[in-house]
Amino acid sequence: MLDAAISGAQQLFTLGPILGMLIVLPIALISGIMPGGGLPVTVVVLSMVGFLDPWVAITVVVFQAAANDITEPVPAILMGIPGARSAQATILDGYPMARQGLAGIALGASYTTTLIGGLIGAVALLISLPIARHVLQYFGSSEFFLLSLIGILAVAIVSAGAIAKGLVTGAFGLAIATIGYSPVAGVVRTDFGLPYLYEGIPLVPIIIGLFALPEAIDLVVGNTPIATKRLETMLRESRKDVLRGMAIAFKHKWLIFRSSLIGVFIGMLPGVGGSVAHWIAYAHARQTEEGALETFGHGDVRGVIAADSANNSVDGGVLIPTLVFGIPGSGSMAIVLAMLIIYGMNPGPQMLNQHLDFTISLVYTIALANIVVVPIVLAFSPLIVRIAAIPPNTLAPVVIGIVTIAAFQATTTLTDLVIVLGFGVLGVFMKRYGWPRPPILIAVVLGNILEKYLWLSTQTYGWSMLARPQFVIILIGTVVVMTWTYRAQRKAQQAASIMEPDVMPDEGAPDIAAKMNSER
Amino acid sequence: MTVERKAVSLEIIGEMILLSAVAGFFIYIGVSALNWQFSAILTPAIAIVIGTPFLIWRIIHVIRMGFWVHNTEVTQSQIMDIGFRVGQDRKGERQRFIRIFVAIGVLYAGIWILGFHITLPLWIFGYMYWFGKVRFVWAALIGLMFLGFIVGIYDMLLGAYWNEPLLFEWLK
Repeated sequence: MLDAAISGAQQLFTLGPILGMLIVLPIALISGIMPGGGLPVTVVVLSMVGFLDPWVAITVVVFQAAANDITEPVPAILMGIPGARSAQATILDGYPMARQGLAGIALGASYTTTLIGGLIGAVALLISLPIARHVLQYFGSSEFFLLSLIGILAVAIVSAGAIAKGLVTGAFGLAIATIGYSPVAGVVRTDFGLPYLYEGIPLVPIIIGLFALPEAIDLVVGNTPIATKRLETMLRESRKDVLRGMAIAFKHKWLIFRSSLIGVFIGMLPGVGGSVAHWIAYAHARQTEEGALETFGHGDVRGVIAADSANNSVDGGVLIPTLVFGIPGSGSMAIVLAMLIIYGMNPGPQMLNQHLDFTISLVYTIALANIVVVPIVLAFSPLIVRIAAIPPNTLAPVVIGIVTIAAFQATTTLTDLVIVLGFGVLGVFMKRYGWPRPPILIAVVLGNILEKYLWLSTQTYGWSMLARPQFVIILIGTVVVMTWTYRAQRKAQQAASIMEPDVMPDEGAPDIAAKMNSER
Repeated sequence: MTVERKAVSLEIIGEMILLSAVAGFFIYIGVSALNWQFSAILTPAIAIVIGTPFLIWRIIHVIRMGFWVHNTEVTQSQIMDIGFRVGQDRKGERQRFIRIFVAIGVLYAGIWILGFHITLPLWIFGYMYWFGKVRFVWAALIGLMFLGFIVGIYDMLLGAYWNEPLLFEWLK
């Protein structure tokens, strides 16, 4: 393992990956503050896999994902805008703090917890690798089939209030994955008589249609005006007391540690990912911290600390199921998984034996992103916030232009653009009616893997695969963990709904309560 | 439980369209699967077996919601996905939605007819200038930068392939 650790460092700190990270750094800083902002970079890289070395392509995507999470709290605290969904819990206390003139303290605490949380996530990933290598020895095709199915359905199961929608979506995604040639059966299925579909639907147009287009449309439709005068006041106040905020964060070191562990644990759950970790950590802090029931939601720095610690430690957590079991913990990890498969690096035993140096280099990448980006955000947060205030009608055409090129370059046929439009309409409908979209992406990526393991396990074990101890343990463990996650998420939602009136922003800021209602 | 009659809303119609699309796809797979061998049926069968009961449940739920509203029903929130922003200006939002959707359609039609190199910079310039209210010079500059991005990164660095525009085919 030490040899792999040294080799991973040697290969990561070469010109290609370093240059890739430097190029993507400013984009990652900006994209973190916009809804779905990290996606254009990811799909552009995904469309270039034929040109790029895996050490560059995958490092850039992981670096970008980690850097994104660091900038997300900045507009959440200063303007009450959740750049991404993982900054929603930060608003509950961060924005009231900013309105009380304590923006600097909130930002200082956020930066510190973000850095520590990110590093804890990276260490957790590193520690998990030797354990995972040992555990994987006991897994056969039936267990990998079960894990793939859990990966697709877990998002649905923990979608409190939307379980039926989530399960239908997961099943729909799996059905989409069956389109085209089946390597197991050796036949073409569900092709609607169209030769284009013989190879299945390419991933990049699906991602762009389902995620990038609806987010760009949302940007324009929302057209949120920012009150410039109030923004300037917030920015002035954000420069004060940042160091004090950092010192305050250190006083709550156990809260940071606990919340970071929650982030790692939730991130490790196949398919669940980071979109719920910050809520669960927030709810945990509200229930366990002294006097939190009265003060949370009114500008308590501990709310910011809990949410941001979990939000960043989750990055290490989500890589664990992705690399070890080939089960992506989130939508962005589904893209990483797809890239690994394209490059011939099959997650699981192969990733932990033949490509261990590469796996360890991803730990370095997450740690590096945190160590490099936090000081930069500390210095340039006013600039970042000003960029967040760019009118949507200026930003959206650039985003749409970039993703359109990426969609075409995936397979260089114009039919890809038709697919983008088709999935764009689907994505808009799903977003509008509160249907979770990540299960479709995860199912499309995992579809072929699931089919391969299902066929292997039916041939090897038949029905007796259901009686294998490993299979039963995974099944019971999943039921227990999913029940716990579901209940924890419900508690977090209740906590958030209690506090909604207190985070209602004033003049010019977007209507957060209305936005939260639109999630229903 | 108090039950009231209510008119069918656009929301219900929209979700019914979505549910019908999913149901239609499941039916298409189910019918096609009759001609497939066993190994090809396994995964589609899992998808249909898992999806269909919840799909039916959801359809019933939406139909009930469409015609009756249950006052005691508790709406639960969902935090896995962010819905569209809903503000006070519904009419303006609808207009902006139609505008961006039509603009994307125009962009893709333009790419088909004129190609990427002409359409994308022009579209970005046009959208920013007319809808983004960006000054002419800045909008033109951003459009040109985009052309530079296509030529510099994709043409010169990656040697990317582009489609033959329809107009060029006609002119030949």
